[in-house]
Amino acid sequence: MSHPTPNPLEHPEVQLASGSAYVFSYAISAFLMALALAFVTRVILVPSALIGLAVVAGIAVVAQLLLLFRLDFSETQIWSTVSFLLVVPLFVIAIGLSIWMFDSLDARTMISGLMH
Amino acid sequence: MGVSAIGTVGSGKVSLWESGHHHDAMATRTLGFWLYMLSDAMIFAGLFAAYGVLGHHYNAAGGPTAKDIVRPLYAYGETLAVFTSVLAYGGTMVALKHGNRAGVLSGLGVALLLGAVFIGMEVNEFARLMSHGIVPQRSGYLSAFFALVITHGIHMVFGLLWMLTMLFQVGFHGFTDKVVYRLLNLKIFWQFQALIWVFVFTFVYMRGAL
Repeated sequence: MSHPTPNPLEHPEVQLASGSAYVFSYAISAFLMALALAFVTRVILVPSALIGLAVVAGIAVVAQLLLLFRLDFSETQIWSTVSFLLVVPLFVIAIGLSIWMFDSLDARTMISGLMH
Repeated sequence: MGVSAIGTVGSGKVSLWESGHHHDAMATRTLGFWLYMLSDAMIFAGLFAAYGVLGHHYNAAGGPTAKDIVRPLYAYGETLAVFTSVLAYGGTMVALKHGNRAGVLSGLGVALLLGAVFIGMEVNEFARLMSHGIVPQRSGYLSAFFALVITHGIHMVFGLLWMLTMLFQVGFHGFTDKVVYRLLNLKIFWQFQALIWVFVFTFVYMRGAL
């Protein structure tokens, strides 16, 4: 947050750009999504395709955060990294609790009889 | 921030801010936009939560379920279009780093073209579904499906409009402060679309095909 530069191209956030990191991120993400496709189409057999999908999605997201967004704890990126980390629990709560609450709704309410 | 203020707290005087402190406007703007994108991501959290809840078979109301509507290989094609567009935008940022205006313009052009390919594929997919009577109002499941996928698609369209604008701004104004931080913000916006697509592809299309 303290990088006064007269030339905007010398700004640390501009200088973060890295061709090799972007290509690496692309290759990893495309490969992992192909792996997900292979799980689903049974080209590759795994004990649980759903867990397989969650694992490849998780790795792809981490790869993109590190290589595309260049998140780290450097002086340039620390605010972005920390704000992102603080938002992650909100995602988990918003999605996880909603699904947990409604997952067994039909079994716990009178709607059950109407649904089946 | 060219002023200073002396306030009284308790019994002593404290300086609330200092004059002469150099404020990094570009970093402040990109951080502000980053926080905006995190709040935007919460919209997707809500949509994914709704999709997770309405993914149960009885929410299909006797109509088509995810397995009936997704085409995994086609969705992978869309994935490659998004990722390659983001890679092209990465090329734009590398060219910007080196002050290469032609590189920035060509990178933006390629990213724009590939983003348009994605939108074309998505529109084609929706047209196919709707021609079979698979429309959002058919069931709760389809409402959640279309709401999630179309929200991502609308983001992509706005990204393309933004790229078109930046093509003109870079062409006419060059690398001014404002143009550079807008390119940085567009980078954040465009990369976010790839990140969200990872979840859409795996948890909507791939999981749906299981």
